[in-house]
Amino acid sequence: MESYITNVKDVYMLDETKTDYIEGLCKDVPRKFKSKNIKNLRQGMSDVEILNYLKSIGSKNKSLNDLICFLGAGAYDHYIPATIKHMAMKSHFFHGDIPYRPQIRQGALQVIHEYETMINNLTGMDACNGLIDDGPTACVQGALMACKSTKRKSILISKTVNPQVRSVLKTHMKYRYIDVIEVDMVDGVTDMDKVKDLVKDDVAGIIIQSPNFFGIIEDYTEAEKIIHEKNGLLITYVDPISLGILKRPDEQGADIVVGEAQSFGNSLNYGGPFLGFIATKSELSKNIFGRRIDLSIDEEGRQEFHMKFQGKRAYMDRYNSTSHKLLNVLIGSIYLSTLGKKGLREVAIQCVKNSHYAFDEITKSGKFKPVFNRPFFKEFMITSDLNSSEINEKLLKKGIIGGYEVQRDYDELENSLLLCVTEKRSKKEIDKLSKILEAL
Amino acid sequence: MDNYNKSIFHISKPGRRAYLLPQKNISDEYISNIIPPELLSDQELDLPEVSELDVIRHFTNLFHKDDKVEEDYEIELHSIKNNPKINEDLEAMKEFSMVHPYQSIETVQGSLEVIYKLDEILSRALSMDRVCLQGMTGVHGELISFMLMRAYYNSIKEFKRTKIIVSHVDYKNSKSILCLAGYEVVKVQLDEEGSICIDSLKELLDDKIAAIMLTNSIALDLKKAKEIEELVHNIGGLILYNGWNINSIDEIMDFSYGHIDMIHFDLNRAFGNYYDSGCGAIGVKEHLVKFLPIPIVHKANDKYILDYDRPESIGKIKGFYGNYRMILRAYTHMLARGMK
Repeated sequence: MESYITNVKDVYMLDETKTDYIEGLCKDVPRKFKSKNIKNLRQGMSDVEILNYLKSIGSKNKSLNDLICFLGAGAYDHYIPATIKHMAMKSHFFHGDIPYRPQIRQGALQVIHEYETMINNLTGMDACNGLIDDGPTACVQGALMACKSTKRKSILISKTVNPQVRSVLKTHMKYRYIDVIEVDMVDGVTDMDKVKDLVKDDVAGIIIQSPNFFGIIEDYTEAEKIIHEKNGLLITYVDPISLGILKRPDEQGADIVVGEAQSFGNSLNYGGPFLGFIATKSELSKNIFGRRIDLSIDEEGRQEFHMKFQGKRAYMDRYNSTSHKLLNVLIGSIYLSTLGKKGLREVAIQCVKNSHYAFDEITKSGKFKPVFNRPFFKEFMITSDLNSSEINEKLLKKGIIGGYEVQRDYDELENSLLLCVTEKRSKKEIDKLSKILEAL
Repeated sequence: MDNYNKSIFHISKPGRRAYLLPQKNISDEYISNIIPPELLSDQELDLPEVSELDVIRHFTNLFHKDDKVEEDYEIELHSIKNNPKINEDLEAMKEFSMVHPYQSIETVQGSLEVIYKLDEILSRALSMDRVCLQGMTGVHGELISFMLMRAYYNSIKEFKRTKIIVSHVDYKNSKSILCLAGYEVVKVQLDEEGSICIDSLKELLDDKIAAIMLTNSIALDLKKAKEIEELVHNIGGLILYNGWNINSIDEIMDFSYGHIDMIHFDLNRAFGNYYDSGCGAIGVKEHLVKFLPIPIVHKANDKYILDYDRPESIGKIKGFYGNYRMILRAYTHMLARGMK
């Protein structure tokens, strides 16, 4: 018997059923369907063996524990407060099921509700679903929502949006017969002349990322005017950490805000599970996908959290409401509570300060040149005559994870590196990077 | 504290804080010098201000409001299971948790090995040729398998196959997903015993049928499985298997006998994961492997690589490479169980 199964001996249950062994219970299964011994699968391991075995596999990895990370491009190495480790891991809170029965999951529902309220406050929106799998999927949901709200079948997306988000969007739209049209970029930001040409009466919305893939803070007020003239919707893909200091999307006319909230205390975990969110204004809130948590207060002042659209949505949009990312939301909620009003702003400011310091140090001598001369948040692009993958190889030998090789996705940006400097990087680490780069 | 009804905003007091960041004296002026003021927000953030003790008390109180599997056993819609605690320890191993998804391939060989080996174990257990672990939940896996099917029929130029047969049990769940993938749903009648009625199935079969979705233990009588499979394969359709209770049957049933083309299931619960995030796995036979989402982990010269060069693939399905933490937990679980 497995150590985590409570039954001491399975014979008790079998005695009751008057059968000899588990085989007896499965009498109805025809012999030909029955599993023969599956070969080449090892016997079960003990806890100690597993631990040692996985340690030996893990030793083949080089983790951020040993290396200094200047890599971003959609997954970020931010500071994780100690409260998260101790609170999120302490509880059996996340062992439960989907809160189908709100009566017994009031705690879970309150966590989700508080997290969504904080996301609403950050984005300036009125309704939010914070339980989406990851940023790219949230973007898909945003695009679908725009199509549903406007009853149109075409979506524009800027080429400055993270390439991964664009390819996930294309895959999901392919079989729904929704056109995804890419808008060219000029000097690292969305080309507004192209937006003007492409926005037509059948365009449901335009997706713009700010700070965009290259870290540049995009001013999309012009796009907002163009798209709203044709009654389309403006969807912005944001880095929620940047909302600590940057203008809120609602102030710039965004209708739908989507984003990746991995930065809110979730560790990198080699790319998953991450946490996406979608937020929108109240007039569009009826079209937001998935279940929503709401608070009701009765005559006696007792409060009760419940799930809105539970019956209707749970099955109708089943894929769209798949996620039950309680643990990730719990982590996000603890992160935002821990940092709070001043902390998130401080994190954002330190990101700006660190990244600009690194930018100045690296481009000082002229060996590395900036690719774009525009205001950026925590990521920036540099270029040189050297091959970018060779630079990264050399950096790795010195214990540094270099930047993202942008050439993978943009042919025209040869030998460019996208470096990310978060608040976690110290002056010493940045100096080390710039010194090594200088000596190449 | 079951009647604790304060929100984090209620306990917020101006000036409190629960974090310690490196002190750097950065003036607002400095920031507005490097970022144009019109891009900066001039409003205060509307977030709580609490101390560390406030955070700990608040969340501990919220935990107590829930019924938990470790205190009591409330059965909800899905079965709640206890998860081996060793999974928690392993998942927190820094070698796995602190790995950036875009690190160079040489520095993530361990992580890739886990994905590859779990794929291998599951493929063998289910008699499939490849198991893709990129889905985010079981339902997402279902959506991916319909996309794969669409790609398959497009590649053999059978565009008119747009109908999928499901039993009425799956109907409610699958209808919306099938519609999302651009398919039409046909409901098959059940007989008195609750399994698929062969006569009514025969009436439905024509050249527009793309596939039949079988679900075990509810709508599939194993004795009829072979007949159903032959009927559907004869008209050129595919057999999909909805493996939502895969753990209970993989020990009893031999999948190599049935000519199942595709199987999708969730790696949660049964594989030592908690319910909150799943991992939608899709097992496919050889003729469907080339359509699997990118990237796929390959082993070449004792080195694991991420293969993006797959022209016939349906494309990228989610960010990065799947819910890695769930894959790791499932792998640990499989190691612990062996195949018994």
